[in-house]
Amino acid sequence: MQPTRTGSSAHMSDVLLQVQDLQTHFFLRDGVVKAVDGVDFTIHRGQTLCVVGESGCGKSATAHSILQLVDEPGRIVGGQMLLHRSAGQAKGEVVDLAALKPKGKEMLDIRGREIAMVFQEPMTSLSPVHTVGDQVKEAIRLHLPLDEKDIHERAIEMLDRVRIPNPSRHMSSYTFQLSGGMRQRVSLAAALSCEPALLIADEPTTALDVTTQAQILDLFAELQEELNMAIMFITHDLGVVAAIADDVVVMYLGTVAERTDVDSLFHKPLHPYTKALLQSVPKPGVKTRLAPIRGGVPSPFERPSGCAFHPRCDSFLPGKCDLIDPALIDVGDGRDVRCLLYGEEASADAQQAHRADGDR
Amino acid sequence: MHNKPIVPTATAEQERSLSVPMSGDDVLLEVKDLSMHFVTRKGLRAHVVSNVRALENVTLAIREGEALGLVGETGCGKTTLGRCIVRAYEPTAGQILYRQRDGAVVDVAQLRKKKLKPYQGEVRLVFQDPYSSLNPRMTLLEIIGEPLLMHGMSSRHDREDKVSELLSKVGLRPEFMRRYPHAFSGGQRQRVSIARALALDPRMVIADEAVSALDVSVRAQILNLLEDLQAESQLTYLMITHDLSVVDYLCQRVAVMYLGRVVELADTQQVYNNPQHPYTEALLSAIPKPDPRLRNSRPRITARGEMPDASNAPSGCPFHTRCAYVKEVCQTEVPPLRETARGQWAACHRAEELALTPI
Repeated sequence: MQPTRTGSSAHMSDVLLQVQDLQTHFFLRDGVVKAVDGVDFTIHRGQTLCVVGESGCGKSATAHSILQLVDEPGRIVGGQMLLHRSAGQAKGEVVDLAALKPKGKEMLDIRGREIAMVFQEPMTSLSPVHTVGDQVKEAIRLHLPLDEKDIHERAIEMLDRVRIPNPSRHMSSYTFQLSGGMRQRVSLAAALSCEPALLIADEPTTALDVTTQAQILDLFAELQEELNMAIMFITHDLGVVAAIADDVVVMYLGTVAERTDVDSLFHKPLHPYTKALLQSVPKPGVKTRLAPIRGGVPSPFERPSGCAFHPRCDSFLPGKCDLIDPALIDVGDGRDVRCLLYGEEASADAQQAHRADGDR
Repeated sequence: MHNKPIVPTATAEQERSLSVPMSGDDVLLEVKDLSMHFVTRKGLRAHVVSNVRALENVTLAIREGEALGLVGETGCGKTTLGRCIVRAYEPTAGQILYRQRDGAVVDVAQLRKKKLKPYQGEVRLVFQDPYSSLNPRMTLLEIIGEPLLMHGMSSRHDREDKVSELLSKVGLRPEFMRRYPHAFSGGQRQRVSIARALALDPRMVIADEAVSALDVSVRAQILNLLEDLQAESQLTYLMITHDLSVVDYLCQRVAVMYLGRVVELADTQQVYNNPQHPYTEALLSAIPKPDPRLRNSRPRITARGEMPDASNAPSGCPFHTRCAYVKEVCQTEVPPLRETARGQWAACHRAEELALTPI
């Protein structure tokens, strides 16, 4: 078994990004969508944080908020995102990304240089009318004070690093000439060209074949080791989580349902939503009927009262879960959970109900 | 530039329904030596600039009431095979033998378009993307009722009854029939696609990546629905997917495809516990295991590089450029699909000597 590094064992000096009570709301004609509604987590240097949850639970909105890439009519309305800077003159400085202007000089400096991002569909993030070389070189030119010749060489070196065969020839290829896996390597080369401290990857392998996915995941692990970079990996595939995560944040309707190390997520899940997610995945060699979560994610305009998950929850406590919105509480071992079944406030009958649930 | 499949010229004799032997009494549909080449021609003399061999001598049988999984990477020809079976494409060569309800066997590949209608009502397709496969300007009643209308159910009242029955069968409320697809989530839309496929009481449903675009929890709901429908109405499934855990869950047998050929065919459990082809081994090894404790428990066997271009396939075994166990014979001779272990078929020269890693 691989030793898992949990949040509690990591030192404060390892902290790279602290997201505290982040709130990103979209102000639409039909009302306000609270896409991110009070999210807390910490990313440590050189570690991988996976963010999981169903579509529409605010995973991507959280990632976009960190980079100040939230589109109109969305706005970051509250919270802090403290980045412990590591590059250049600003080394050691702590800056609140939420307070920066999206198009300000400081944010432009951080975006792409210290925090980079790769997206799910490389074809939508890469330009079809520029060569691979141009796109990688642009990222370097923006942030590093190098002359054209060095930029060119560095771009070739980056393509080589992401294991693109014959990199100098591929500098003049166009993205439509490449396969899906190769395109994802190109966008990774551009993202990593300035050796960021944090790479945000939004479902980068979802559109790929299993074999290509395995190659790209291996590449992530190798590059992480080489560059000592932290990765925030957004996915809905629990198999991928098991393969790469150190820590995991489970999101539901814009809030953190559970925050834990990866081993506990799979072997001691606490939140009923986490348990339900795990039960809806077919396991190799096990032929038990799947137990899907009832219903679907509610519309963002009709957020349920109390705990947002209560209409779909198997451990629902009438008169409690539909009234009280639980807080994210620390349950020890660096784990947090947002559920009335846990913590000191949990009443005796709630724990009894939970035990009965566990016996079942 | 035109991209046109070569159309076989059928003689009058071939068009009659014929009593062709099938490989078993329980076989519903059998594909024999099926090839599908997409030829691109260019210029005044229409010389061939590329010939994509999407299917090369594919032979496989689908038994009545079973779920057969068809797996492989993007571009291996699995979707082309599904489309050839419903005659959305005209196969270049080969036979598609289908056992009709009265027991007679017809070669669907030779049937004229006009005579295809009853067959196309019995073998239906469900597509991957529930957002692009439903017409946004049609209500659910029109979408699900269209195949009924095409096959002669002209009374609107009858169609409404049938559609409401179908909607409840797939777990949607009959009142939804007046609504448009935009009002529904991805999982609900996929249920609508399934209802449309079931409208004509088909015998076989070809599901082309029907659960790939869905969230985990919704995917579980749809997988359970497919399982229930199979038990209810004795449906036969051809599940085209790249997700091997779906095959493991739903399919009794599995066919693995690579560059237009079937490279392994057997019971799902046999394939997973005792793979006979190195490509199957690589596919199984690439599935992420849902347990962090299995991380690094054994080295991952990945297929090197990427699948070659189907218009320029390697000589010999198509997999030899990526295979870890390649020998000289692999580079020159095409391995036939043969029984390498009991009830298990594989196209590999070295199947007997290799001890491949199971899942």
